[in-house]
Amino acid sequence: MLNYTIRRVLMLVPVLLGVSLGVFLVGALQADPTRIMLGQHATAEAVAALREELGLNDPILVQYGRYVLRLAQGDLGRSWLTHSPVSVEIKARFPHTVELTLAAMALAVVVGIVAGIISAVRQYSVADYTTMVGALLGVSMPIFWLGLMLISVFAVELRVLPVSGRLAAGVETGLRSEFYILEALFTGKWAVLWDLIKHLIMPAVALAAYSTALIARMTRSSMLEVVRQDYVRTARAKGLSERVVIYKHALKNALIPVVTVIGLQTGYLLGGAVLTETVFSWPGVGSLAVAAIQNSDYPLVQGCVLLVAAVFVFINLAVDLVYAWIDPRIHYA
Amino acid sequence: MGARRRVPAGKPGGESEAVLAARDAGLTQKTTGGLESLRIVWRRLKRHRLALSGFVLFLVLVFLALFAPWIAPYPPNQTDFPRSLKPPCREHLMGTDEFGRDVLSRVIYGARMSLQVGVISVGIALVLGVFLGALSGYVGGWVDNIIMRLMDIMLAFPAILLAISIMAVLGPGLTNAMIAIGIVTVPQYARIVRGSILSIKEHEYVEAARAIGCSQGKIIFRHILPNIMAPIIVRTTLGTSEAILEAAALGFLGLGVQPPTAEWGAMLSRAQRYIYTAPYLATFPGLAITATVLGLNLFGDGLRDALDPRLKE
Amino acid sequence: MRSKWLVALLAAALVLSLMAGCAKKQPAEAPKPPPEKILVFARGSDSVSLDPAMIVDGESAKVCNNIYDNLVRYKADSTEVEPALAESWESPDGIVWTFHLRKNVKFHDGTPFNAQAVKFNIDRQAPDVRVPDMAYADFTLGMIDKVEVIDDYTIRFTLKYPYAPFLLNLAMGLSAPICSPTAIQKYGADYGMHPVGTGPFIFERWDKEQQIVLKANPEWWGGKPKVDKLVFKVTKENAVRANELLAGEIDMMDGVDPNDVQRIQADPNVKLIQAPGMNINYMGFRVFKPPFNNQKVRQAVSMAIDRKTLVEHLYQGNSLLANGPLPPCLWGYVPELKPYDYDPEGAKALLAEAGYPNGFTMDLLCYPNPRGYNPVGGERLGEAIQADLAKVGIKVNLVSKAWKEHLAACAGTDGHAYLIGWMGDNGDPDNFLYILLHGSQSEGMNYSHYANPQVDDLLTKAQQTSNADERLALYKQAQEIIVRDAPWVFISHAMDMVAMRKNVTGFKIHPTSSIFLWNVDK
Repeated sequence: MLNYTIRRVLMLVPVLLGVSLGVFLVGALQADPTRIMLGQHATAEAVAALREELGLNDPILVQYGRYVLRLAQGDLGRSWLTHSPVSVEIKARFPHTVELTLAAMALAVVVGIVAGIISAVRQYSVADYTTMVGALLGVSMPIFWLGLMLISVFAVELRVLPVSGRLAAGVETGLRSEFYILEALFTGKWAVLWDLIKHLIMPAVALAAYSTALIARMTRSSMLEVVRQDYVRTARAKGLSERVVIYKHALKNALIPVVTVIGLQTGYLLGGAVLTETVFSWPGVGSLAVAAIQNSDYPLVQGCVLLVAAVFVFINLAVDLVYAWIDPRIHYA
Repeated sequence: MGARRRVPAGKPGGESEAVLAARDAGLTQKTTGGLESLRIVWRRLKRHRLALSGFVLFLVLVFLALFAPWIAPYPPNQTDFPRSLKPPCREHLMGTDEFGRDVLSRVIYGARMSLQVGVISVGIALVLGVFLGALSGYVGGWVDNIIMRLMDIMLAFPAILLAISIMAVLGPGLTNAMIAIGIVTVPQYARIVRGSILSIKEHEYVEAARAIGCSQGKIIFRHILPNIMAPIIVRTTLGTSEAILEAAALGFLGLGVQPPTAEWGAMLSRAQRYIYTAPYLATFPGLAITATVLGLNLFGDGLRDALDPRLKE
Repeated sequence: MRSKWLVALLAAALVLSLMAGCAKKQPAEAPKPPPEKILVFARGSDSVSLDPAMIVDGESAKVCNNIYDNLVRYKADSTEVEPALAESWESPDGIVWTFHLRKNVKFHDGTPFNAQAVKFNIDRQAPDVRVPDMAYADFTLGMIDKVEVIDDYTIRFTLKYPYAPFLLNLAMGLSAPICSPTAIQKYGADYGMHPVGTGPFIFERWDKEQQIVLKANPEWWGGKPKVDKLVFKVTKENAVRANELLAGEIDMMDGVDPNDVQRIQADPNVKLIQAPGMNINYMGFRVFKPPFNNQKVRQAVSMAIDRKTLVEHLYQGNSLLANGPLPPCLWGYVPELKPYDYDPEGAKALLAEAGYPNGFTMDLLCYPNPRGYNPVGGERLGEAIQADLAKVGIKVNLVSKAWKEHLAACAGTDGHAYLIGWMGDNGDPDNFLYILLHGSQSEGMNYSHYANPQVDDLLTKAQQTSNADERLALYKQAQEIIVRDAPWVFISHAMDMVAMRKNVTGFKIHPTSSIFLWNVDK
C-alpha cells in the first residue's frame, strides 16, 4: 500500500508538468496576443516593444520554462482585461465554485444512494421503474437545458426561487469570506443563509442531476450483484432478517465501487460547473473561465483551467488511494 | 459530460468505474469468436426492448437529418420579421424565433448538425484512439509509457473544460468543435484498445500467428482488432451521445457553429433572452437533444448487455 | 449500523428544522434603528476597472461617474459644461486654458485636492510615461502640450493647437476624472480595484461579477447624495434583469431589451424612461478593396438592406432609423439627409452594372454581445443583414469574434465589411465625423479607410473653427458627401432606456448615456 501510494504520488509529477504545458500552449498558440492587449490603435513599435517585453520572440521552450518558474512562485500573471493579478481574480471566485460543487455532490450522493438502494431492494417495483427512468433522463439531459427548464418553471412561472445570482442585491450580509454558506452557517446569520440557500437550490439540482442518476444506477446494479453473492446467501441462510442482510452485509460491499464513482463525479461536477454557472450567473471559476474566453483574456483562461485541472488531478489521486484502501481485494504490485 | 466513463489519471489500463468498465473489459476475453457471434448479439438485442426503442429513436434522428429538406415545412434560415416570436400554432408547430424563422424546421435541420458532430468527432477519436491504443498495447515499452502519460495528462482536465480550452486556441466554429470534441475523447478509446490488446496479446492464436511469421500489422488488423470490436462498438455508441451533448454545450457557450446555421445548443443559448416572453424557444431544442442522447444511451446500454457473455441468455 | 443511520437522520432533521425555524423568526428581530436607503442599480456586466485612465467600457465609466469629479462636468440634461472641481476658467485664444480650482475639497482618503493633484493626473497619462492600457489618454488629452501649476488652486494647460471641444473633453468620463494621487501611488497597478475620488460616492467593496457597493460622501461639495448606499449589481441576462425589476428586487436597471419593453410598460409599479441616444449603429465597408472600392456596389448593398424593417422588428421600434452618421440628438444633425432607400430590384440592377450580375460572397465581421448602440448584439444584426443580402444574390459569411478581438480585426484589413457603432463621448460632431470618417484616421477608428479629400478638408476646417454657425455649415456639407459616397450603411440610433421602480425619483437620462445617481432618491 505504501509502495503504491508513493508510486501514485510520483506519477503526479509528469502529469502536472504536462498539464502546465497544455495550459501554457493555450496562451502561446494565440496568433498575436499583443493586438488584444494593446488594443486596435497600437503602433508597430509598441507591438514590437511589448513582444520583446513579454519574451514572445524567445524560443517556445524558453518561454515555457519561464512560465513554469513563474507558476512555481505562485505567479499566474495579470488579467489582460482588468489588470489585476489572476490569482486575486481566481481567489475571489473559487470559493463560490467549491460551495456549488460540494452542494451538488452532497445532493447527488444522498439522493443517488438512497434511490439506488430502494430501487435494488424493491426490484421491478414502481419505485424501481421511476428511479431508473429518472436516472436515464438524468444522464441524457444537457445540464444547461435542465437549468433553463428549472428557471422557467420555478422562477418564471411559480416565482418561488430567484432566477440567478448568489445573493439578493443590497442585502447587508456582513460576510467576510467568499465561502458565503459556510460562513453564514457558522456565524448563525440565518436570514442570509436562507437567501443563499434559495439561490443555491436550482444550480445545485441542475449540476447534480447527472451524477445523481449515475450514482443511483451504480448503487442499484452494484447492490443487485452483491445480493447474489455467496456471503449474502450465507447470511440469509443463517436466518438473519432481510434488513440486516441488506444494510449490514450487502450495502457495505456494494458501496465500494460507488465510492469510486463519487470521486470521479467530483471531477465531472467541476466541468459541469462551467455550464451551470453560466446559466445561473453564478460568480464562480466556471463562469469566469467562459467570460475570459469570450474576452480573449488568456492569462485568466490559463489560470482557471490550470486550477481546475490541478484540483481534478488531486481528487483523482485521493480517489485512487481511498479505493485501494477500502477494497482489500485489489492489490497493487 | 464526457467525464462519465473516465478513469483516474495515472492508473495505466486501470478501469475505475468498476462495474461498467469491468464489463467493458470483460467483453474482450470472452467474445473471442469475434464478429461471428453477431447473430447471437442481435438475438439478445431484439429481446431488449429498451435498447430497441433507443435504436429506433436514433434512427428517427438519422432520418430527420437525411431528409430534412423534404420534411421541414420551411427553409431553416428563411426570415420573416412580421411573424417573429409567434407561439406554437398550426402553421408553426413549435412557434417562430426572433427572426420569424420556423423553430420546427430549425430543430429538424439541427439534427444534421448534431449527427455530423457526433459521427465526425467520434470518427476522429476512434481513429486516433485505436491507433494510439493499439500502438501502446502492442509495442509496449517506452512507446506505451509516453502514449499513456499523454493520455493521463488529457484526462487530467474535465472533458468540457479541455474542449473549451482547445476551442480557445482554435477559435469558434463547427469544424473546430468537432476536432476539439474528438481530441478530448481520444484517451477513452486508447485505453480500451490498449487494455484489450494487452489481454489478448498472449492468447494462443496470436502466438500462433506470430509463429507462422505474420507481419506485425497483419497480426494487429487481422487477429487482434476483430477481437476487440465489441467494447469499441459499445464505446462508440455511448461516445456519440456524449459528443452530441458536448457539441450542444459548446454551441450553448457560443463556441460552436456560426449563425445562421441551426444548431440545438446555440438555439438554447439564444432562447435565454426570451425565457419570459417566449419560453417555448428553450423547450424544443432541449427536448431534441435529450431525445437523441437518450436514444443512444439506451441503445448503448442494451448493446453492452447483449455483448456481455456473462449475462445469462 | 441501523442505529447510527437513525441518529444521523434525526440530527439532520433537527438541523433542518432549526434552520427553518430561525429563518422564519428572522423578520421579527429585524427592525434596525436607522433604515439605510440603498439604491440597487442592475446592469448587464461587471466593471473592468475603476481607474478612469485605464477604462474604455461603459460599465466601468458608469461606476466611475459616481465616484469621481472632473474639472468641469456636463449639465444634467445636455452636453454643455458647468463648473465642477474647477470653479471658473478662461482661454483667450483656445490654446492656453487657465482653470481656478474649488477650495477645501478632499479626496475620499483625506488627500487634499489641489493643482498638484490635477497635474499628477494629467502627467501620468502623458505620451512618454503612459502604459499601453491608457487607451483614451491620447484621444481625450492628446492635444495638451504642457500643464503648469500656477499656485495651489490655479492650473494652466497649453495645447499644441487650437482645439474647440477641449472643455467637453475634460468633462468626459474616460481618462479625464481626477483621482487621488496618494491612492494611485499606494496601490500602483491595483489602483483600479481601490478607487479614490472626490465625488458623491465613496467606494466600499467590489464582489467581482456580483456587485460594487458605494456609500454616500456626506462631505461632497455638491451636497450629500440622496441615498445612503449605491449598489451596482450585475445581472447578465436582459430578461432576468427586467424580471428582477418587476419583482422589486432591484430599483433601477439599464440595458433594457427591446423584447422586454412591453412587459415593463405594462407593469404599473415600474416606469421606463426613454431618450434618443447619442450613438450610431452601422455597417462599414472596406472601401480600399474589391468589391466595395466601387461606389455602385456600396450603394447596391445599402439599397438591399431593409433598414426600416430592422428598426421595427429587430429593435422593436426602440431605435431610430439613421439617415447619416450623426444621431438626431446631436448638434450638427441634418434632418434632410437622404441615404439610399430600400430597393432590392434597384440593388440587383446596380450590382449587374458594377459587374456582379450574380452577386458575390463577402465576409462580414461581427461581435456576439449587445452594445449600447445595438441592444440585440452584432450577431443578430448580422443574421438579419445576411438574410436581406441573400435576396439579391450576395452570400454573407458572418465572422464573429469576441469584442476585443473584433476590434482588433476591424483595425486590420480582413473581411469586406464590419458591424460596429459609436457612442458619442462629448456631444460634438467632431467626436463622430473626424475620428470615424477622416482619411487621417485610417490607422485609428476609420476602419473602412474612407478617405475623400473634400470631406477631410471640411472636417479639419470645422475642428479648428470656433464659430458655431460656420462649423455647422461645414459639417452639413461633409455629411452630404459622406451619405452619397456610402462608406457605411447607416442603420440606427438606439434609444437610451432606463427602467426603475415607481418610487425612484430624480433620474434623468444624460445625452452621453452616462449614469449620474447623486440626485436620485427612492
